[in-house]
Amino acid sequence: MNMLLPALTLAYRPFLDPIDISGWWWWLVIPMVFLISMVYKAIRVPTMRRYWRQVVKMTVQVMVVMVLMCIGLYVIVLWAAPRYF
Amino acid sequence: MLARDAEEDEPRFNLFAPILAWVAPGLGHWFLGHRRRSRLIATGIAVLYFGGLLLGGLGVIDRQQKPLWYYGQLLVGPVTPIINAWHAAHYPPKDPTFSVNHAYARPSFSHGNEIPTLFTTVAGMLNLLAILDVIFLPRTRREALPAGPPGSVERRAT
Repeated sequence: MNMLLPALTLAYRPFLDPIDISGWWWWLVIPMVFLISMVYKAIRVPTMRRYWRQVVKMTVQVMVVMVLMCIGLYVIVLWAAPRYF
Repeated sequence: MLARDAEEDEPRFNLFAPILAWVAPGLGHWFLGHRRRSRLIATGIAVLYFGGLLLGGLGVIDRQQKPLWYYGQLLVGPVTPIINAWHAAHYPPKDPTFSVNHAYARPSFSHGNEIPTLFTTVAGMLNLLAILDVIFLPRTRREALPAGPPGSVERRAT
């Protein structure tokens, strides 16, 4: 085991080796939406008062709309279309 | 007071600030005195961009394979062509033994490539917003502003 340790620690090279995100890639939408909201609101808000509140509000709004769109598409594609089309 | 602020913060054409905003995200706002906005823009774009590179590796930036995505990533700044040049020079490795001892970016596939590419390109698109914003953004004049509650010092013309 001791002999394997250097090889194990050298196995992953940050920024050179990709991280395996195949099982959880869709969770990355949350930090992405949050960071988009953070930059967008930093550019758009007239004053910086309540900035973080607006960032969180925009993040929640985008996520809720995406979830609703997912539900809508699920209903159309997997429930309505097989029955009525 | 509003009339006075509008008088102080006259929008004008900025030539240098958009260039700075491209060189380093947030630097254009910093140059115009919008320090807090600058820090937030820089942090958001840097986390998106370098987070994408951390997830997918430097091979995510590839002008030859993904030219359209590359132009989006290019909006983040000169760091993108530098990474692209480094990647083009080091991949594929000339000698198979290089894979053990030498630095080269291993390619990523499927979601492991798509999501990091999206992260880095979205960072570029957000920086485009920041670049466009500073073209006509007035300078902040802190000395002209009245004392107010925390967070209200920095303001801009509507």
